[in-house]
Amino acid sequence: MILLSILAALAAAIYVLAPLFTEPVDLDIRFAAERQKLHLFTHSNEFAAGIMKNRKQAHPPAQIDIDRLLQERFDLNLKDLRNTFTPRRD
Amino acid sequence: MAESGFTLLAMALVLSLYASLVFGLAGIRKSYRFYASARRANQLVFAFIALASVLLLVALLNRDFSLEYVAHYSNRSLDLFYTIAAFWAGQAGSLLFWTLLLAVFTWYYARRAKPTHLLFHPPAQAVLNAFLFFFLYLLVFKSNPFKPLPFGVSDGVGLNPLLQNPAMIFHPPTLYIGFVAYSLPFALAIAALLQRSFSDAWLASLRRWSLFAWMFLTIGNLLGMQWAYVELGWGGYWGWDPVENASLLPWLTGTALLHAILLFERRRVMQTWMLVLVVLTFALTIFGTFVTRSGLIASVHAFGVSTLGPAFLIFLSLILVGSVVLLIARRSSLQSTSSIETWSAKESGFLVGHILMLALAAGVFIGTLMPAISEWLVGRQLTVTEDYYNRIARPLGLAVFFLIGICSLALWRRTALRRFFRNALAPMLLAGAGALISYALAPHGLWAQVGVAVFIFSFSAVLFSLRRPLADRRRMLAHITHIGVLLFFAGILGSSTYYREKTVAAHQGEEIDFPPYRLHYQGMDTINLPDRHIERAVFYLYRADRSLGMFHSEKQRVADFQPVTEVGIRSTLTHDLYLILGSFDASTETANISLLYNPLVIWIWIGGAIMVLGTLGSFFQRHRSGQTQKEAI
Repeated sequence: MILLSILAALAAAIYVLAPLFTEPVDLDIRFAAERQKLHLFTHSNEFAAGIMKNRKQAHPPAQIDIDRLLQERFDLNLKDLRNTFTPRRD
Repeated sequence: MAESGFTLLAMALVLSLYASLVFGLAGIRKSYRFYASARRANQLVFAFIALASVLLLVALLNRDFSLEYVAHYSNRSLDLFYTIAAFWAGQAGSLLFWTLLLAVFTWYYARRAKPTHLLFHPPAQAVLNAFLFFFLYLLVFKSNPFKPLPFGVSDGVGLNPLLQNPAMIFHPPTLYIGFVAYSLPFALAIAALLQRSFSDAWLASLRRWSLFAWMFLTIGNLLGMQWAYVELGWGGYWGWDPVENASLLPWLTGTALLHAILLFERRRVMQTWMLVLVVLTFALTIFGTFVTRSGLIASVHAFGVSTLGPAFLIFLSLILVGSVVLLIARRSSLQSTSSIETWSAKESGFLVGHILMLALAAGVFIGTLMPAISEWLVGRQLTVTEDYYNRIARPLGLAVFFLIGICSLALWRRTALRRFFRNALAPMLLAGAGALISYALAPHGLWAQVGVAVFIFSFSAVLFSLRRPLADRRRMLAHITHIGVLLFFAGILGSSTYYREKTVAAHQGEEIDFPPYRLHYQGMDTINLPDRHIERAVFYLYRADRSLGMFHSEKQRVADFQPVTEVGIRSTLTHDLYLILGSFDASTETANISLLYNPLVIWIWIGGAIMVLGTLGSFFQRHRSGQTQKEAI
């Protein structure tokens, strides 16, 4: 039982500490990048409204272009992007 | 089993401390490495606690009486469902259950983190993991559910028969979910204060978790009332017991919090107030736990004297002091961008409602702590009576219910008084007429008539508001929730004001007249079951010469426990007939019974169910600022 506990604790320690050594260096700035994205997203309502307008008017090519453009620029999951870009209703 | 469970909890303890510290570092240094490492630690904390919980459950189901907890709260004759309920029936098991819920919520919150949440996610997780560390510390060092029994036993003591009621299978878990879920709004508030960021995504999460916690706290309280009504056998559903009060307090401040969030969403006012309510509500959930587990105040619901009291007191003090310091330090970031424009705006009604609910909470808080306060001040324990609470709750509660009607007719920013009175005229006339009619039919003093008038006014005002086409679904759901609240109020008003009671010493063959019922006493049945002895007083029930069948109440005697009364209840939409067997004198074959006529009790449960359904609907509605539902986690 004691041996099993030591092994489990060792495995847990390796699992938890691994990201500290395996994550690439540039990931340290990911927070800053996310913050920038957040800032840009929350300050671009007109842009967001534009996307929605295109979607509502069923212009698939335009939508794809804008999605791709945003994806390339911000390297963000499209699903998250859509969630962020819902226009204000009030 | 004992070693495995304890080892899992000990490892989770170490990992939760690591997760809390490293999440904090990730927040300060904006380091993704630290963030990823802390997330993994958090995943393991959740996995280890879940595994430990499964082990305890397996031990209960296998009747592993080598564990003290299993031997104390279960026995071989216990049903499957009550064996599962034994998991949270005792001090250590319920503490593990609490920790499991907190671990589930923390894990879920970490899992659902989105880019828009990354700003306040690490500090919020740091707070939640610190809470996990605290509860794991209690489990490992103070109240270990895997503590081995030093001697062997062939059977356990079993679950208290009072707790063997279907409501008790669901009442503690739902109440705990409500209590524990308030950790999330608190952690979110602390994170936002630390980051000086109050984004729409943050507000959406705050609203969602507050609604979730409030909904479960409501369900938990309702089930507790139902249990008290059916199982405790005194004819009521709320006895102002300290532990009942402890669950009412966060419900009151949590209700104020939901309205404060709405106010901030709509009008960007009273941000500090909203955060204060978040802190207060969470602190009250910990206070409730402290009352239940410290043994400070005697209660039918409490776990008895334990060594956990000082730990909870220190934890509570840290939460309050830390939050107040942070609020003061961040006061410059908490300037509201808007203010309440006139006293006639709906916002003013909300503010008055908050003050009333907080005044009620303060009164209940003082009453609950009175034994401890008086012992400290005068050296002996003084307890306040039910009358104290009723004197506070009656006027304040009526004012809150009246405000529901007023606010449903008022408008945001400014209410044109002429229009308001035009809309309020019909509800006011109905309320006046209703009060007069009720007085003519059954005069019951001033409070009863005021209560009837308030109910009719607010109920018709809310219905009046629903008459208008409501494009905003969230508003409609809020009105539905308020209809539930008012029906709940009607149930309380009817049953507490218009009830009748009769105590009878019934002899076999005797007929008891209790309008509109007649009861024919058949005699006493005695039933012997393997684990209990039952004495049942059997009656035939009649209403206007129509037989309604058998009606009975019983006393159950289980070894090692106090006798339990199982009451007879006949529920209709207008009233409940409630039969309590007090005692039985075998020498004279006399059953001493009490009969109660409780009007409108069923509307407490119906109103409560509507309240919960309305809140559930609101929970799935989108955030006002346009954030989609998925944005809130």
